[in-house]
Amino acid sequence: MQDEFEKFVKDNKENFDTEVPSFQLWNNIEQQLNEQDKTQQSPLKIVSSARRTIRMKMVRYASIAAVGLLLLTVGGVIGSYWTVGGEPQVAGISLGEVSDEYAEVEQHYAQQVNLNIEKLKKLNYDEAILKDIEELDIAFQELKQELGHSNEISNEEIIHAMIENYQMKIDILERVLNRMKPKQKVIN
Amino acid sequence: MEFKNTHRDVVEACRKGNRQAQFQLYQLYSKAMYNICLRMLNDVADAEDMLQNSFMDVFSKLHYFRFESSIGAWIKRIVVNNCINFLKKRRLQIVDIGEREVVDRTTKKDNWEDVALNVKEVNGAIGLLPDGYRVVLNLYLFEGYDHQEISDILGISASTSKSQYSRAKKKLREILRKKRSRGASNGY
Repeated sequence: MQDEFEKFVKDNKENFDTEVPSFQLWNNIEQQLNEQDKTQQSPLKIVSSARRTIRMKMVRYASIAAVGLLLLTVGGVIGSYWTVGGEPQVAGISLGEVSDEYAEVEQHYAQQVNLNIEKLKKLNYDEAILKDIEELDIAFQELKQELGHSNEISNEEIIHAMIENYQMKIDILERVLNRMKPKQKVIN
Repeated sequence: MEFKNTHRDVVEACRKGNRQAQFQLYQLYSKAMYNICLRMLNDVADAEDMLQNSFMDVFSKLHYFRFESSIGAWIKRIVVNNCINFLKKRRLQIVDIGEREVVDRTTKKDNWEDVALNVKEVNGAIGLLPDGYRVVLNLYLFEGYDHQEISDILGISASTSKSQYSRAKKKLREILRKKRSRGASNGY
């Protein structure tokens, strides 16, 4: 049940949008966006910027990894003779204790790592990979210890290193998982 | 289904903070949204602020957008909600009216024959409506929400929305009629 008025509006809808916003409005918005980019680093942005640095580091890691694996196996053999009792000291400060944003980041990464480890464990995997991850875990514990002992500026570096540490784990796990996928299909 | 993916690439780029994509999105929708703000708020300065703030909201909330509707409809909803909140802060009041009145109103068709319908005059007359009438009329007629949706947006009953709408139309016709007779006597 449309009356003439309703019909008129419907037929001329576009014509009713007569005004155009001033161009200055976009300038204001752009300025606000720029300020936001500068001041608040959202967790997602931290992730993506850290991810960029990690890409470069991964190249280096790949070369170190070969050496690392060798050391690990040697170390593992020696270590098995040397099993001294007593837990390693786990203390220090976690990322989540620094700020809420980092808590979010940490939760996200820890989840990713665990998820990938679970996936890996379901497959026919190489023990050496988990050793690598453990090695990174140890490095992470050291970072935790350091965090809090130092001033704010170097804290930032430590936090960065912690995030990179998480990303290395995820990267290793994802790459291994990706490589295993096609093989696994053949097996099944 | 297709419309949901309209401008998908633009949206994805905006999410990454790509300024050019953000400008593109702004260009696509700023005019239509600005006219909504003008019709809802009836004030140029308020409408400009509203447009600016709403686009800031759009950019910061964009990662919640799930392509379940068109991006245009999603942006419009943000703009409309912001306008409503703004008006509520300024004590927009829509008085609930009983059901009875609605029934006999909707059965009667308004007569628009003696009113000159043109965009400019209708726009001007809408600006003269009280806030409550104007908002309901805009939402129903221009933004295409049905009375159930309006009742959700405004927190009133659907029957109140209906009665407000028919009252708004009646008032609008009155304004246009008066204008016309005044215009005729003034000789234009």
